[in-house]
Amino acid sequence: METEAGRTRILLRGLPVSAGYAIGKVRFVHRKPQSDVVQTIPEERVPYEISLFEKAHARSLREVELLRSQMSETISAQDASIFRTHIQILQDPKIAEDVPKLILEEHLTAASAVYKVTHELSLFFEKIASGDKARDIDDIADRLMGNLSEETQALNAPVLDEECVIVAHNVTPSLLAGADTSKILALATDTGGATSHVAILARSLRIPAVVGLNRVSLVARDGDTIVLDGVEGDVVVNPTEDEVELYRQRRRRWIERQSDIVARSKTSRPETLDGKYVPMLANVELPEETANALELGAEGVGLLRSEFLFFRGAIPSEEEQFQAYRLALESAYPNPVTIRTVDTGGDKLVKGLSLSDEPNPVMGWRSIRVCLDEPAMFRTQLRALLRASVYGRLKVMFPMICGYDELTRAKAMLEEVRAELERERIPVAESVEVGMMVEVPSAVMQIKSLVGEVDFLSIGTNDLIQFTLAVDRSNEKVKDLYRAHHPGVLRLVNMVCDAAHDEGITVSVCGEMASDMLSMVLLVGLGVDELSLIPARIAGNKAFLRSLTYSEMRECALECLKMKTADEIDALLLSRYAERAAEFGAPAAPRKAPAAGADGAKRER
Amino acid sequence: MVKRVLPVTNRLGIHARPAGMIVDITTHAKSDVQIHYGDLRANAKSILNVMMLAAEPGSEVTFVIEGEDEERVADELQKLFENRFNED
Repeated sequence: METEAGRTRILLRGLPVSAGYAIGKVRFVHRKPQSDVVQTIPEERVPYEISLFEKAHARSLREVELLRSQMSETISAQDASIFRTHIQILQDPKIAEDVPKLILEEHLTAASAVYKVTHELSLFFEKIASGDKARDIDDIADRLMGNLSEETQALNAPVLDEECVIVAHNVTPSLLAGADTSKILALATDTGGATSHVAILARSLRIPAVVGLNRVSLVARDGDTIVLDGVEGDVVVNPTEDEVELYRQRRRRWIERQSDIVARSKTSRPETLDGKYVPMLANVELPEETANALELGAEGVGLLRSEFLFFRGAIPSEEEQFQAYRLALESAYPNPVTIRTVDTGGDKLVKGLSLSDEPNPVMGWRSIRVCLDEPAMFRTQLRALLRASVYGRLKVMFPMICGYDELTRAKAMLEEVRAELERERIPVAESVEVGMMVEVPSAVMQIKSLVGEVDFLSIGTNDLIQFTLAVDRSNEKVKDLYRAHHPGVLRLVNMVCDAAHDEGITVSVCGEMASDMLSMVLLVGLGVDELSLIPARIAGNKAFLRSLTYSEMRECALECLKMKTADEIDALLLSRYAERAAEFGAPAAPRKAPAAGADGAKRER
Repeated sequence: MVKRVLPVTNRLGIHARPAGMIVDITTHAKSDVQIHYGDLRANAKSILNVMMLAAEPGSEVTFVIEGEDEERVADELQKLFENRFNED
């Protein structure tokens, strides 16, 4: 059968791994050609080739590190571990040491040495059990090669200037992560299975995908029309007009169902049926995500983690920080952006700012403690923040405050820096709100003496729960004791809200409890004024909030405050709200321990 | 020197992620750590080495650890295997 354009219609059936429908033009993505010609060099070029490899290696590590932090917001901790594995492989002596050794001993070019090492590994892994391992190696090899050569560097991620269906022999995780995913309508690959990296990533990114098509990359050409059914697993290259029409309808119905909630989120106010307004803001990791968060209905950024700048290797300069903060502030304006000063330590290690060998890092030298001990680094960040303040509505927030003295010392430094900038005649916004994270029980116990010192409070529920219940969630043996709805936790939240309202300041929650619908009922009911959530959860939570009254949430929270166990509280919430929450897309998980996301993802080891 | 025989009981065997978790422990160890699987032997501080063993579910691997923190490292590895690499 032939279509009008004369191209042959081909029907393929594969494994549907990410639901949805797509009709679009094929965009064929090649693996970059590898230099399989082994090139040798004169001896005097050896040091140059080694330094070339070292630079490409360092750059590759940084890239994967950055991808990991970018992806941790959109995909689960389990899925993000792909990037962790890639980092470990890059750091493996078989690559980090063997490649320079080959250059030195066999006088190979850096590219040839990388090819030789990775090709052998890849062949090995292709022979044994899972093809996924070979793909990991290929992916790493591609990245190293790309960084080795200036020309191919731009090819690291395909530039997608129009919407397309990506067709490939296989799609590596970093290819997907580096590309402008909003342009990708669907993915079709020759290889892969239900648990392959591509499948997991496609699902997390909500891109329909069919894998295991065997020869789609051979039959589809750039520009061909293709329809893809991520529900049944059918893929038609050069479909008939009737087929195109059929899939258009299916796609339309599918999208209507899926996007209804999101669409409503953009234009609707986060307000209960009885008129209580609860602003919903976004937690973001990178300033670049701000615009997207607003698209999803966020009214600003409730938590910008400034650590992202510090994971790139060296401690960032004032200018680098200033540009990043300015971007976030400008993208969000006129909405506010709360930037948390650097919260290193615990599990988030930064070179030069972390001790690698702490017996109990979560309670160790981290966060505000590091900042107060390293005033030069802290001042640089405060200067960058205040300089950026004139470009939007900045709110500065200090993490891990345990008591009055830490808070006042941090504030004093901020004031010193402000005076310094004024002396230098550098403009600073007149009002910059200053707040603190409430995540340590001692801060809650003396909250009355702290509220007078700040303009707002933000409860970091993840740390507050782990410190209050003395539970390390990454410890298998005790992780079930981590209960967000423990009566002790609810009382602490209640104390914070009462003290803040007596002082006339607002309380926000930026931990993952804010993203969980049933927890949200409790938080709002206890008096939390504002929520900061994972961008992807804003639409659903907003729709859910709009179906509730504040008075019922208040009543429910007060009832829960009287209860003696987390089980009772969970049971009440489930019986009253689980069904309704599910309508708005709440994950139908048992409520013993809320699913990890946002902050929680990073605490996994 | 400590020798610890550990059964591989997780569903997928020692694939990339479990290998990464093993290497997380071994690279922080001061001791020398070797992993044996059948006739194969490898430096357990290299994720690629560990992945290349491709230890299957239902099999056993042996760690041979030598150094000042050998006991601690052996215990940590054992715990990791017992917890099935947090897969479930």
